[in-house]
Amino acid sequence: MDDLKLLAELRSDTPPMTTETARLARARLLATAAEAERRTVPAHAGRAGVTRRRLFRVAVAGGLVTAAAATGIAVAGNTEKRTDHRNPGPGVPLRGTPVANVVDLADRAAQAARTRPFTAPKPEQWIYIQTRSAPMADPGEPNGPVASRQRRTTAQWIRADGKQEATVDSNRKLTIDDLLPAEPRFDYPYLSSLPTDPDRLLATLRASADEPVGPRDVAVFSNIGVFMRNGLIPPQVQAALFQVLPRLKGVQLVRQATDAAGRTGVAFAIIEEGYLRDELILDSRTYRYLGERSIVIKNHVSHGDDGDLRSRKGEIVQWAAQTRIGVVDKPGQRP
Amino acid sequence: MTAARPVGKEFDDAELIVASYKDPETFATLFDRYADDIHRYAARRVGTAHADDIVAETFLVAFRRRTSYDTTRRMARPWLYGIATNLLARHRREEERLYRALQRTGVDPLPEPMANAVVARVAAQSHHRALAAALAGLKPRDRDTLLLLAWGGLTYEEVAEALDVPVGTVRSRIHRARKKTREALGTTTDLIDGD
Repeated sequence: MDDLKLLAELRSDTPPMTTETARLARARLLATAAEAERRTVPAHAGRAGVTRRRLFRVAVAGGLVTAAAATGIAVAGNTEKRTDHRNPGPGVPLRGTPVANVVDLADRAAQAARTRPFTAPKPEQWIYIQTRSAPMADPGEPNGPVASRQRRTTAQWIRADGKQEATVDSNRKLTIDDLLPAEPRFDYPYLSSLPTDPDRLLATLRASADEPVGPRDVAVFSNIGVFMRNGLIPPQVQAALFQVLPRLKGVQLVRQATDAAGRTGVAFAIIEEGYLRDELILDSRTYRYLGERSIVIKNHVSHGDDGDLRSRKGEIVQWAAQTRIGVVDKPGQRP
Repeated sequence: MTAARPVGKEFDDAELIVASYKDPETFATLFDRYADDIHRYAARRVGTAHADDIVAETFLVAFRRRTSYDTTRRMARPWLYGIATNLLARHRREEERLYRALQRTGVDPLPEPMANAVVARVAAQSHHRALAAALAGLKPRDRDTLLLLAWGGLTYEEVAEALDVPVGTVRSRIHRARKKTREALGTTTDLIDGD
């Protein structure tokens, strides 16, 4: 008799997986997937007509996106004093006269970035970023407003070679995953490959902001926010990024803006879709990146495949602060 | 296509995996497609209790490695069987112990007792005992290769994909393994004939 046929009979009465086993195994997979979704960039395709920035916003772990600013109008409610934060390094104090305009802010921030101490990470080291952010008010409506009085702190480690990322869950369990392809990329190899000349950098960023939903420069602004939020950026590239900002069409200065950690600074801002102001907030003394906020500046309805999204003036749809960034040898370590 | 299906086209496995980069929950569809098969394959080798863990673990590992999946391979089945097979290696001693128990006693400890299956298992045929002896004695890689073919239902090419070896290697492993199973069966047949 054929040996393969006999082998096929052996234990052929093995019972199928029970529905309970399947349910538990599937639930474990979904829990892992949901965790990944929370911190992946970007998140799923959603409404038609919702901007790329918005997609990014959903993704990022502590999640915030860019910031914005406006016309010199002081942002309401930002009366808290700047607190001493642990965002790294001494920075260069440039005291004195207030910032005159976006070009002045860019010059000061670029100069500060170039003179700040920096050690490039080794490929096998990990970039640690701690973020404090306001969670979504309604997790079922990822494009809706944040709960502006709540905060959560998240930590992520991204290997300097851009291959893996690590996060800790609420039980402090460390999970290491492949770093997913992100759009835009924010891994160190990519960021350190960017041009350090502002004009060349601008051309590169415009070219890579493919298929923007809105104006290309709004997408570039958003992408710079992604780099600052998620990445460790070499000083010369950082300086060039600051110099790119005033070159973008529609970028404005916000003289006073507060991040999700309550730190008040000065911001570059851009208006998205005519109703949303994205603020990229810098420390007003050291010009270090602090965080970001997006605020609705007029009532608006976005029409999407899955229904309409109504936004009311004053709602904050994204609010975050980078409270720590540094390089460590192993995931799970903190600088 | 049935009228009930809302969207015109079903995604193949590679498309699902790519979609899961941005929408991780999409990955659950792969579970729905292959979990039963993977479980059955694992349970047949090491029993239901280990298979429960292996099936869950297989999909978690696959999920974490989804960005390194070669999306030119439209079917993820061999890839998933490969992951499950690597996880099974942790239970090698147990697997071999179970084959030897069947060989020695004529009673297969697997599948685990289910009332109406008992009689059949007691009556395990002599060629099952011989096969179990052969399986217990195979080199682990030869056994993996043979069982992916015989129990996993994979083709030679799929086995090669699952184990990440050339098809030629699969052929020579199968050749070597079947030589052992045939030898074992030959012995039994002689005994039966002599009865």
